[in-house]
Amino acid sequence: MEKSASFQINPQNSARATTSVDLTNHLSARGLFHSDADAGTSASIKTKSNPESATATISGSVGADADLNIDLQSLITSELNSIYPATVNQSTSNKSANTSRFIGERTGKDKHFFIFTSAGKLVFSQWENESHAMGLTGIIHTVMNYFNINDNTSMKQFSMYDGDGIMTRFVFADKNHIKLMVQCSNNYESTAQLQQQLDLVYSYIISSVSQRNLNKLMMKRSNFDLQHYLTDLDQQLLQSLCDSLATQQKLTWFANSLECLPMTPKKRNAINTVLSSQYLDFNISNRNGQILYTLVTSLDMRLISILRPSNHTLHTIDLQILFELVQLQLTDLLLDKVLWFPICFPKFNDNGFLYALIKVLPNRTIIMVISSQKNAFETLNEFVGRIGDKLMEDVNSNNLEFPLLDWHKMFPCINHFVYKMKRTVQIYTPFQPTNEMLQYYNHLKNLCEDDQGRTLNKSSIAMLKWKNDTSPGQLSGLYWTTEKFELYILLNDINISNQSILRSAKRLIQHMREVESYLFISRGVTF
Amino acid sequence: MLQFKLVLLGDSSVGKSSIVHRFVKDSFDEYRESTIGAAFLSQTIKLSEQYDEQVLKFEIWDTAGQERYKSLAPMYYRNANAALVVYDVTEPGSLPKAKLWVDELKEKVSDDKLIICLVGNKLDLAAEKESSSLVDESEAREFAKDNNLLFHQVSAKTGENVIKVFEEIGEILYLQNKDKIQESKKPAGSNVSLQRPSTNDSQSCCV
Repeated sequence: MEKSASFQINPQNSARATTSVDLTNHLSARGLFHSDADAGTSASIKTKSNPESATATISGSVGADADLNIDLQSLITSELNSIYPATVNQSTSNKSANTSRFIGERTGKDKHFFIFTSAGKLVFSQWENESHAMGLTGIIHTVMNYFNINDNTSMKQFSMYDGDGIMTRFVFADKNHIKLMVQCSNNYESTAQLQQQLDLVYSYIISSVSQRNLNKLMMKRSNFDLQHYLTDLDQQLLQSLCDSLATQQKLTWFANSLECLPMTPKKRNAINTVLSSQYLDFNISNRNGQILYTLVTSLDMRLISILRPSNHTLHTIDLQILFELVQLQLTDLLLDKVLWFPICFPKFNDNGFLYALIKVLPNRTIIMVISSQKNAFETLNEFVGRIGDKLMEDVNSNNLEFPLLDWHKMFPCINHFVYKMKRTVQIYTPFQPTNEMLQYYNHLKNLCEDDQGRTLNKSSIAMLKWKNDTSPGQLSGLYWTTEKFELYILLNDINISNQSILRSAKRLIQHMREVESYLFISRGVTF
Repeated sequence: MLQFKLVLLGDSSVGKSSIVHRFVKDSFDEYRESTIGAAFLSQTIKLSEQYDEQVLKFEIWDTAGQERYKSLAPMYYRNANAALVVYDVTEPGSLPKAKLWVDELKEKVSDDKLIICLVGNKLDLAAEKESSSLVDESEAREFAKDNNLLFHQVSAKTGENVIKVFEEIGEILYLQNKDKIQESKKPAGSNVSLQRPSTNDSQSCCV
């Protein structure tokens, strides 16, 4: 879909205090940076110091921060022109013609991930054709070195425009021994989000190899061939990870959080009790320290219960990676297999491996036990066996989920929403948003953040109305962030006044707080 | 019930998981993910009349073939009663890897009763390929003979010979343990142990 043609400002609202943004500048591929020329006239963000009382309206320009970099960006773009004219302009030389044709061939997808070692050896490329990818790796590597793009410099990305004015961004990450780049021609994702995605991809590699091993391999020989050290499974997983980041991003990645299965507190407590009593039993029989974390999730990876040491929490990215691995092995797990594998949690401790036991329990939930000991399988298998038996005995396992069915009746104008509780880094959404919805949410969020992902104000509200000329679809959206929560709402109506949108949002937040104990795991069981 | 531990070893993508899958679920999945780390599962079989229709339970460790997980392998074969060392008959490079596994087992496992079975998988594909690109069957057979291994060629895809491998291992395990089984079958309740005093509880009133 050609977004630039299909969206417009809703003119009658542009004069009001709340936001309406010229979408041709922001959702279209015609460049975020151009919009700065007329920033402030078409875009304004309403920020409030106190979310409960609507007060001052501050106009802010979207992408103001990007403005400062504009000179640098254009400088680099022109520098690049002179070094590699072919990547921007058509050229007659053979090699460069290949390169530009290859980029052109792939316009169906707007994102490509690249991973290579610091020595410039290809580790992974989302593009199938390895020989092309190797050539491009050489170019990227040279560009990164020439402009000295690394983690210590503020320069993390540059963008260029093709003949049609379509902007492509190149976002880099320079990690220990590994460099990553994503080429992205959509512009609804901020640089910060793209960097977060690169971090996820990098973390995945570390989860499989561990930083200590990687250091060892690379110190011994800096031109070590990491690509062939990674297993086929690693390659498959990287591929599926990058593909879904490019084509169908998960809400949990977008919101950088985890999702819980909504349950009645009574049921959740019953499961918590089973976990803690079994854990205590085990510790008494002199097996202390074998169990670090125990997680119970639904088959679709929504958290049901956590058992953890009181002084440790698990980082969201670590769990996202674990869930990703488990999901890919789900068919095997459903055949009553018990998985036992080493995994490095990069944010927990990137130097060592932990061991994970994964099993589907008789009540169709997944149990994951993380241990620091590689010989603990038999003990842990006994532990999960007992938990499984006890759960079947004690907890009515039918309908663990307690869906919030009445929200649609309570909020008839709300189409979809995502509520994130910042303290627990957990989200609730009544159903998974489509790709398009995520784009709208991205758009809303970007209004309240600079390109580095920092919120412009502690609490801000952004409202937008999208009008689609080609189809009858009309949407309003709201994003509200405070220190405590983030709320994303889409409303299937463009004629609702901003006041009533705000009222609905307030009522929804109120409602979410009332049912908080159903939707989120507050602490989990600690020991 | 008699329980035995069985471990599958071999190079990556020779079809270890598919063999287990055929044995446990009697089905075949053309596109399956590589195994991560190792997978544990169990399956019972009933032996034929000749072996007293004995029911055995196999606890199976299906290990990942990738080199990187190699250091974890001892954990799986340490207490094993049987090992299937699998190679791919259409992949000549996989037989030397299988031989290395056999050497390692011989060296590291002290239990001389450990049953090792060399298994050539993907027999169904062998028919389509030129014999020069296949693993030399006689070489594998000879290696098995020299090292006192069982030897089978199977196809997890068609199911050919798969169950047979497990049955044969089950039968040998049964014979190895027959005496113990007979012992345990003797009715225990009718014997009164004379050594044991009728009351040995120091807190009981009889003291």
